[in-house]
Amino acid sequence: MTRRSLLPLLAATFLGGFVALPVVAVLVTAFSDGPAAFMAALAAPAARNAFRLTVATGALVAVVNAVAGTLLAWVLARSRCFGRGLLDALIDLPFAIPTLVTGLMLVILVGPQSDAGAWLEARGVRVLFTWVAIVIALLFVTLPIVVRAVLPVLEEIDLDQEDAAATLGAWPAFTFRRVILPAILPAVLQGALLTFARALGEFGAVVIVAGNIPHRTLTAPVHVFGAVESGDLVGASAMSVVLIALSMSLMLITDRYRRAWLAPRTEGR
Amino acid sequence: MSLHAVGLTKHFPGGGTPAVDNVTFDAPDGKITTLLGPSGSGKSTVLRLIAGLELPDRGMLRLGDVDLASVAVQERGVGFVFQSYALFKHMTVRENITFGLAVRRMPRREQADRVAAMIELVQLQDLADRFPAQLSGGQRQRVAFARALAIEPRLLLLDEPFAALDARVRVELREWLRRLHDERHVTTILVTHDQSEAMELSEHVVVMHEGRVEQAGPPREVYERPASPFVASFVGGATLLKGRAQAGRAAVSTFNVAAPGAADGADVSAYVRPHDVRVTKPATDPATENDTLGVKLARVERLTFLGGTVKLALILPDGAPMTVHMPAAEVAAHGITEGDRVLVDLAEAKVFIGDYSI
Amino acid sequence: MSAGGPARAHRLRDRAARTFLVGSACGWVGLLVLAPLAAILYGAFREGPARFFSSLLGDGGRHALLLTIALAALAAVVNGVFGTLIAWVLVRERFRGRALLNSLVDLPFAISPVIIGFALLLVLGPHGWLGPLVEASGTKIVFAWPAMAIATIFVSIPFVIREVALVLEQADLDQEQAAYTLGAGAFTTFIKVTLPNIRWGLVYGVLLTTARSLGEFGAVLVVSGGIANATETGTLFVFRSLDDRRDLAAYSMSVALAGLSLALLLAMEFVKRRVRRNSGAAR
Repeated sequence: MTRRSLLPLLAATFLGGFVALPVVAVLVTAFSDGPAAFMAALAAPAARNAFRLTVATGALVAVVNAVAGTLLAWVLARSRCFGRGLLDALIDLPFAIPTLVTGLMLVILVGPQSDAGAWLEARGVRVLFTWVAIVIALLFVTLPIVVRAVLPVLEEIDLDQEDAAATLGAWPAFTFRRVILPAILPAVLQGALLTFARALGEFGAVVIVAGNIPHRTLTAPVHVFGAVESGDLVGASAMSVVLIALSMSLMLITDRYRRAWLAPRTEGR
Repeated sequence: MSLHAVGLTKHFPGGGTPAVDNVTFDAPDGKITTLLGPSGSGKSTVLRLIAGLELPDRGMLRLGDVDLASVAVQERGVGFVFQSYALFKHMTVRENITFGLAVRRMPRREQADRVAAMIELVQLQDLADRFPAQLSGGQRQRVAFARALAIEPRLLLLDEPFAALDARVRVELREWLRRLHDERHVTTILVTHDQSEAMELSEHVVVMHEGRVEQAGPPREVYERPASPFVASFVGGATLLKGRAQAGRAAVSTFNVAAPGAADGADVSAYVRPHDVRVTKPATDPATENDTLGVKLARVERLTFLGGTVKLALILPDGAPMTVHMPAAEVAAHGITEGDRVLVDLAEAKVFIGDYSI
Repeated sequence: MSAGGPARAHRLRDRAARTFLVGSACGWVGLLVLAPLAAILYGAFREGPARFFSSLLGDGGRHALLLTIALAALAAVVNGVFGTLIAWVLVRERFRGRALLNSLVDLPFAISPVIIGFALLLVLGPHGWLGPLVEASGTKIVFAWPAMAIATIFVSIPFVIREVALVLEQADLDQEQAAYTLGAGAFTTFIKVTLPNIRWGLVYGVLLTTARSLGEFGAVLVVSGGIANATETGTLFVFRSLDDRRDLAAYSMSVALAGLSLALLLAMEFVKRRVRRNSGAAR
């Protein structure tokens, strides 16, 4: 059946041409001047500081959104109050709004010309062009990830389980800690790691709020952009390889872990 | 510890009639009491009120000497077995059973001992480290029992515990529960819609209908002396026959039954149990639908063998259907087959005055 | 009356805790999402709707908006067709290298758009791997719309595949096999049986693709060269306007892009509801 084997070939060609080939090109370019040049490009202080800033802000954002996202998912799953539909739609908003626009929104909101920005400035708090602005931008952009990962899991825990815990003597806090949290923890972790992976690569929202001051507010993707603009192909591709490797392995790990955790608990369903 | 419920009433928002309406009953100490009724009769809500998962709008619950109004669900010390079992999916069998003990901060050693005893009680030694999804329905059910019993409840509440099981496992588990109860004598309230389950397991039956208690008493009494038409039809699957009273008797369908105290012309409903009918095969007059004495005959529409007994679907002479159960041997002795004309004799009928429709 | 007492007090405390949690959740979303949204709406319309439109459509804005829409439409069509094909292949076919193909699908989500743009530059650029080939063909790819289209397609590849695969996995094989037994060929079966089953997943995926494409910035920035009235998309227009201190133009284009995406988001909600109702009715 030639037609049957033709379709997978077509799919492989499309994905290979569009996705694999460019990524391989980055990988090859990174090592085009040998491993020493690759290491040197990464060891440069500007690169190191950019990477450190990206990882630190990404980690902070992952932790904050893990907590806030879990809370939001709980509210969406358990409360039937007025405005729930609006909340549901608002949470997806960051996926719909262009990330550059997100950045611009923050500039307007907390920039020095705005009321909020002026008020903060008068108190010696500077948001725009600091790491705080980067964190806020990332929080906005990644808001839906944890919520969308946790919500379906929460909705699947039937209320009977919470009732059962209560008849066994557990107060709500205990029930949350011992019944609900363990059940949703894999989803929370998966959401947090995806948030982190997404934060590693964010460019549009960050580039106009960060100020891009080398060593201080210049993130890794902005570093890549700068290197490309100045024709430093090895520098750009070395950092790219590190970022791609990091976020890809995170995605693979979360996927494996989730599956291994789920298998015995959902067998036969 | 005995439970007293007095005047329990519960409305749910949006529901017109109360889900539970002025329900009063006792669950005697150390006995199994059944709340029996069709779905929607409010029996599960009563159970949730007793557990404290819902709060009543009105009424009182007393467990022993304690008024439960001042006791939260967490402190009531009731073991609740849910229809869905409500096992914690991410915990193993052992962790599920330990949960209630961990809440109580029991010392670890004691926890382990108690859990081991429970696992032995429900015979799940080999499966203690499995997750619920890896168990069969009957095994999950036993875990749910063990989890509820581990906290040494003062009261065991069972919400349709066998409903989700297949027939064979259901019968096994019923017997298992009976033995378990005989050993432990925990005061138990069982909610079911299955009258045979109620008859087999409980010493005390409370029949519920549309949020109200229709009748309460020992199973035999409820079966033999139904207090209302609903009980007569729900418990025992009786056939309803209607007629009018005349001089203390009534003609219902083609039968004449005693209707003591009925005014002449009053509507009379007679409930006939499948076992309270005798069917015989008369010598027939081939020309008519009457027997040799001129009495009209019923027709056997269908015979269904249920093992020891046979179910006969009859069409009475006036066209009314009637269900009859007879010992298989008797049916064979009379040589009754489908399509036969038969003589129907009522051994007993429960007669209610007034026009009831259920 | 005895239904009051501590049990009710516990309920009240529970309710207070609930209210607090719900309140803080709404507050968080309000602060993080609504406040910035309000800020940009204010910024764009501060000088009235007339100025909003003139700054939106002036100075290459109209061209940028049209180019953005054209690129998004192209990405939606290409990814709609190939995404459905790839999803079908991944779900229904068993062949060597399937796992590898499957992990390639998510790659665009894991890679920064800037890096995607850079990678395309390395392949298609004048000194890139396919550079000689491109030059021989005589068409301009990098710093022209073809590379921008490729970049836009790249970043939005996973949406249709993931959405359609999800629906395909749920749709039971029986229907397709029934069609085969009734004598339908593979193509007829796909058009008549499979496609109707997956149509809402496909619509949802295409809407997501379009929304994502409208907002693409990093990848396009790297490969476009950003020449006004030529290779400038909506987001690039915003970026340039900010650089040139034409804030109003930047705000207006931002609102226009966000508005388009929001319209798509609403359409997605509608589709989601439709799907939920359909699957509910089928059960």
